[in-house]
Amino acid sequence: MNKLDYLSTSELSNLIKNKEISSEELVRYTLDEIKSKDSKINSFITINEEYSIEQAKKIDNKLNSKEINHGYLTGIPILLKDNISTKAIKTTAGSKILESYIPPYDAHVTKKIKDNGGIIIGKGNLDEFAMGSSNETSFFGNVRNPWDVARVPGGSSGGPAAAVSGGLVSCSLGSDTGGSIRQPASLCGVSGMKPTYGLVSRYGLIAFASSLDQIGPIARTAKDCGEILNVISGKDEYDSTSFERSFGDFNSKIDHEIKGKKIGVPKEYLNNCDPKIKEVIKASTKEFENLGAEIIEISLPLTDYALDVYYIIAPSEASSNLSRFDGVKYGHRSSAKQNSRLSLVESRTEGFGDEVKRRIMIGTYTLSAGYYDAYYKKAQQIRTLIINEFNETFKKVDVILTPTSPSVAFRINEKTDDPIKMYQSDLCTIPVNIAGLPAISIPGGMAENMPVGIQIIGTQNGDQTVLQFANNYQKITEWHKKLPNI
Amino acid sequence: MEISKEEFKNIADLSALSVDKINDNLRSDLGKIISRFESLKKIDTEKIYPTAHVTNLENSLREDISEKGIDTDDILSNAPEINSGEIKIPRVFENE
Repeated sequence: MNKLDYLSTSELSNLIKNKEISSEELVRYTLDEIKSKDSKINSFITINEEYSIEQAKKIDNKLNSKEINHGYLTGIPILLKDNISTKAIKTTAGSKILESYIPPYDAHVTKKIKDNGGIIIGKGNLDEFAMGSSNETSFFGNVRNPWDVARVPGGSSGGPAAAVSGGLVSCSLGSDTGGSIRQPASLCGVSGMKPTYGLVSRYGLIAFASSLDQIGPIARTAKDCGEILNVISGKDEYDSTSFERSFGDFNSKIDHEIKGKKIGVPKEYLNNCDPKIKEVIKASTKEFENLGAEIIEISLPLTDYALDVYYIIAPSEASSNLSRFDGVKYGHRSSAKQNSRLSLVESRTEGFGDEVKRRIMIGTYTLSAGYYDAYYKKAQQIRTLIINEFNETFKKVDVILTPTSPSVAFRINEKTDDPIKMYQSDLCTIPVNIAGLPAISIPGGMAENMPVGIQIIGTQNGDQTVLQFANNYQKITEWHKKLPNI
Repeated sequence: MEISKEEFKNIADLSALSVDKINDNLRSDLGKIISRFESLKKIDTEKIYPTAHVTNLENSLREDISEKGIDTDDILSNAPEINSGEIKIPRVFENE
């Protein structure tokens, strides 16, 4: 059999459709790849070996007997971040408190993937409760970057990004609250997209900050991201913030040229970046000009406040969401049993790691009596101003181009002692979540022999345009085809 | 900004976390992080509506039709301690 590991999801999908390989062959091949490579990068928390082989056999039989039609993900192994619920498959959120939790139901996206014939090959490592930018807060150990195992993969979807980067799987799902799909995609040299807030149901996603969380794909190309979004998106009655997209296929505009379109490059995003990252952005603007687009320097002054707005809103929502972990119904329960309150407090103290405790406490503080108006309400008001600023900008430009991360992947332990430095890793991605916009990170260059991602931000429901710009870029560049040596 | 030991204990209590077992670095981190938020005061937000969510959806309701939920046994299978179909917890009231 030919080497399959660095093929894109679309290529694998065609091989299965044309019966050049069976799903079982692909699944067995993938399991071998995981076994030989994952000890180096620790991107999986759970590997579903027997389940996947069994599912693949069923899919092959059904395809052969024409019982099912071929769908984009039919027979394809996919990795799900371990905060996405999977019925009968352990879902830990990277936390001790859910170390042995087995969900009794599937998340909406899990069901959509299964219905499409996708095979959940395993559960991806992540920062605990998706809180982190380096995958170092996971209870199950940090993930390592396939490009340099002494460096972080980014976070919090570090496992899903590293597994695609290292060729263990062709695609994965992550979740993105402040950059948790795009930043690791950037640091690992793959494509990762956060769609418009509401296009993908959050039902069954273990909640971090509900007004910011959104599930999205990580894959080798923008086109693959669009195809996966076609499978997982749509209105779900179990998530009242979800809605049916107003446009058709995510990829229906993907091959349209971008000649004459306008790209805004905001100076505030560049100010805080490593000079080498600025060089990459400069080079990528040249490529976009070659494609006929016009580059316009723009200013988004409120960008400088977005980080602080985020570190009020996200921990506030988290402190509320994580109050459900009480050691009563499921999850870790302390052996301290004198009374119910002690059991609650000890279970949480033992079950949560330091970063999660820190964020729960920030949120508890900002929501507490006397501080609500000064912090939470103030942050929500500035959120409105940030949204207005984006809306005004999108009257002048079609998309916004920025770096995804202010630096390349940093070294393991480099930032663990300084939470503020760590939080600043998400400077370029956070404003997008605050405004609920779609954005993709795609490989746009190299620095220090590490991949550098560029971020394309679109207007609300402008997901097709984001994918169109990304695909045009990937047609004339080779950065997304560069592979790590693992 | 310095968060006093008492205030830190109060926040931990409200968070249902045991202050005695929390790394004390968290206290200074918390002070540093909350100090940063002071910069937001520079922005005039008079008469600005606070955004709680971005979708602009209103009254997103489903039909009021009963559906089969998750089986009790499946739910109980994750409980740390059960007793004849119920979740068992340490006692709530003391001195009894």
